[in-house]
Amino acid sequence: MAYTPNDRAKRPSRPRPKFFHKRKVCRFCVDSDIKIDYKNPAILRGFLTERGKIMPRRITGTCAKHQRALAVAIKRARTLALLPYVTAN
Amino acid sequence: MLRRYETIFIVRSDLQSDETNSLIDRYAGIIASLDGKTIKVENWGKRRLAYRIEKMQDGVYVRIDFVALHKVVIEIERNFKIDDNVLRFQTVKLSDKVDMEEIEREIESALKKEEERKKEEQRKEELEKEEEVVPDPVVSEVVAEEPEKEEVIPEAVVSEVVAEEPEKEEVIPEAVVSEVVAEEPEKEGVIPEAAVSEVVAEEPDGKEAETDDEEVVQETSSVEADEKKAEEE
Repeated sequence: MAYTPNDRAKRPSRPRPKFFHKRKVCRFCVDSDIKIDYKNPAILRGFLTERGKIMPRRITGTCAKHQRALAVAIKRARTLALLPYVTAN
Repeated sequence: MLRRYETIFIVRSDLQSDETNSLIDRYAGIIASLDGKTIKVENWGKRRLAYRIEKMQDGVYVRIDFVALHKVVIEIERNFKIDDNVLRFQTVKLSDKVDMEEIEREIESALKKEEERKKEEQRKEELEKEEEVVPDPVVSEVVAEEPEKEEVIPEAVVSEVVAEEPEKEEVIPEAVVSEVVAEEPEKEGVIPEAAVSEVVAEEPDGKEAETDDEEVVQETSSVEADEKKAEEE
């Protein structure tokens, strides 16, 4: 069978991705005003789960560099009882 | 080698404020006695702890920013460990190299800021006192504004009341009348009068409520009509 250009048009189009997810950007890269500081639990709290665990990068979209800094800051804040280790219930 | 450190420690919250102040002075004194320089002492005040420490729910947070040798940190932490009034402490190294001139400038600016803050607090207190004296013009403004609001609101309120009231008023007489008829015919004449006087004042239709049950039915139909009107509106 010879190939004709018309076949191409009949061929079903490639399956498109079902969900468009917005590319997450590191909040600390975008806004350099926010500093990762263990003395400021208000900012760190946004990167904890309800249970008090540190949220993974794949959910928050934080870049590797800032995720490292975040993890250290959260752990320091925990020793000072500014953030919880675990949240009950 | 001099380095810049920052120590945060939590003091028991059940101490008197002068006790905590003398405690803070003691630790600042330890730094000074070992040739360290205190840049800033911050008292964050009483804060809720994220979890209980030694069965305490809150603690007083104190931050000391200082430049010193490593041995000073060891000494001050040894003292923290001994002290029962200190619930928790943490020292963080802020920088390895220290420029003494800059540090002295910072100390000066910190002192200035504190003075300014104290002045501002005094000003605020004075302002608050003044405000307490002044309030008269504020009151007159409020008086001027209120009548406008009152004129606007009644229209809406009245329309609501008109829609709601007839339903309630007409429903109650039904219950009263039916009870009276069933139980005590003698009092029939007595209670309805009160009901009548009320109803008459508000709605002429209510007259029919006292005499017979049949007319109550008519009333309910009028209620339904009112409800329909309300729905249409």
